[in-house]
Amino acid sequence: MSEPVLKVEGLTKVFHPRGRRSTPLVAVRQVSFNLDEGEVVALVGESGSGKTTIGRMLTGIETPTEGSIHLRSEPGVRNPKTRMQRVQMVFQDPYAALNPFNRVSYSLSRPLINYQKLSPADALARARTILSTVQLTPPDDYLEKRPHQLSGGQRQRIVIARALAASPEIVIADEPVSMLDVSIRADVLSLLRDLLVQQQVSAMLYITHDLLSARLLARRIMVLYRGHVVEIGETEALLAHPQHPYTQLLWSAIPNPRRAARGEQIMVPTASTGEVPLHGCPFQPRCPLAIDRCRHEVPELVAISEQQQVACHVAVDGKSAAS
Amino acid sequence: MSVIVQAENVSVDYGRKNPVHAVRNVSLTIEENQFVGLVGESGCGKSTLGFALARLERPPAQIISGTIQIVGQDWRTLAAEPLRRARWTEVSVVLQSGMNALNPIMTIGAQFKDVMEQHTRMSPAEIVARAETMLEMVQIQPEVLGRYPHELSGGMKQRIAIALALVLQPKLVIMDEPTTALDMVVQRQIVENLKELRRQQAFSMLFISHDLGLVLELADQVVVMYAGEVVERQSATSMLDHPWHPYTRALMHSLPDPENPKGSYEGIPGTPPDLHHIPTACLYAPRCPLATDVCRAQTPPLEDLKVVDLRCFVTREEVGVHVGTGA
Repeated sequence: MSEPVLKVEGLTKVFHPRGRRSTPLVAVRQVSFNLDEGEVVALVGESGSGKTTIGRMLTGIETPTEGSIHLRSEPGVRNPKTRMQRVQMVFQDPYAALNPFNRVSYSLSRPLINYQKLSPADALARARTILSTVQLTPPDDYLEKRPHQLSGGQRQRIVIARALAASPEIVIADEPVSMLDVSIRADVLSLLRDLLVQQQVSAMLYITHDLLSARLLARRIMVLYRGHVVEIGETEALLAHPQHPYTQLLWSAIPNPRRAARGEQIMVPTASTGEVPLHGCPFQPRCPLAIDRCRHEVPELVAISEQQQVACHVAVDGKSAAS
Repeated sequence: MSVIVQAENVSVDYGRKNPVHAVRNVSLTIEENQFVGLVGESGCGKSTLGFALARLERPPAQIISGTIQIVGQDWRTLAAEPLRRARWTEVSVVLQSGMNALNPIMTIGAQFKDVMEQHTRMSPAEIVARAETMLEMVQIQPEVLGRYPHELSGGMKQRIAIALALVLQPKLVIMDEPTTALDMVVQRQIVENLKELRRQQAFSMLFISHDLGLVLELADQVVVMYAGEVVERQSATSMLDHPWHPYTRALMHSLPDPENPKGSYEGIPGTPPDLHHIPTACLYAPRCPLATDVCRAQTPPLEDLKVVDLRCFVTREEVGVHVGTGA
């Protein structure tokens, strides 16, 4: 197998909030994963799970407290400008991500001139090609528009086009469809998948709270809870048999009228507690299956099959007892 | 079963010169303890209608025709003071950004007190007891009464907004995208809270959302709006198996089926029409895969076809066959 596009090891981020309640906040704890050539990996979790912080560390917006990020085996690209060119981000809110004063032509030319060193005229020609790639055609209808003249879906396509303009190897898409109307979400997700198929980018990290959209896009899913990776696996294997109680909770949270019509019981979430326990499993205060060991010992990721790893004492013990 | 809301032919415009006809001739009935879901894309008029029913429309929006009867009162002509008294006690509203509707400089307890002092003669002790009961229903610790909104998560604030909306036991709660800004797990928590609240305290609900899956799960009856009009209305259980309007089918198809990993899904091509000028045609025809010349030349009426209210020249024939075979 060829070397991974991105190799992340032991990535950790600790924030030190100012003020009187100044206990350090571990936003991301010892996260390791690879992005292979042509692969989409989904990073799934709730608000506060640390998924956006991971994305921000990969792009270089945040500096990791610990751990390493290797792009094509090159240890942590130090030059932030180089890093930003090679790892581009698509943000959640297309209304906020584009400067309302700038025309599309300007937003797209800037990365082309700054990173690709194109002349303004060449940059404009390339911008037209990129607009076609994101299916905004004919491109000349869009080049001179400002964000307020575009719909939400069109704006998100411009944000994707701008990320492509830097010719990145990796695109990090942070909730790219959650602000969009349901009727256009499928198309934007297909567009993102096509970028991989057409080899516009080498790999993608798709950040979301929605397992269902992760299933559409990603070959592998990584479930994050309070900065801990609690389960990682190949998409269909993981969703067919989610092992971690938190993954099960996320899966049962998806609206499913047929299941409701059958009157099936689902796992109803208990309220989340404010603090992460200092010892033991981070999910233990909300977990219906928690045993004593969960309160003392942080579970590490254990492979339960070739396709799936889980960090849960109960799930892992159940598996080994069954086999 | 008594009727809580009876709205007839409600139309709402935005602006006077060159107005946008955002809602046109919408009739809606909500019965006691019935959950009605209202779905459609952005700009279909679903929120405009919800606001108009609660008489919360603000200029340039204007109700230009129709009647709105809520619990026997004519809300369209109700004067300011009776309207103020009827709001919250008869009809309450939860908004998408409901968590931001909480007053940032008042504790949660003070906000419960404010509402109850305005509308009831409860003693301070009764107010606290009632507020605690409401919080318990949405699974929030009573200590939160002493906290300020900024100390709470978005999901908690939204659940508090729902508890506040229900505190005076209104007959109708209008919820406009109450879970859209929230995570899946928090959304699930709110949906389960609503199901439980309904068992404990009878109330009717108009649940406005763009998420048809969520509405089909929660509502008894589903109303689909497109470009300011109702295009389909039927019970949620029958819509799940037999969506009739091509737009309803497209909405169902626009998100993947959680039960079918191999199922296809696709966006809805095209965009909704400009509502400044309403053409004589089916407004969905330009985006519709089934559209015929008739659809492009005449306006389809909303017809009561027994199993469904439907506005479609093409699929009405299918309904006839479906009913005829007794399927």
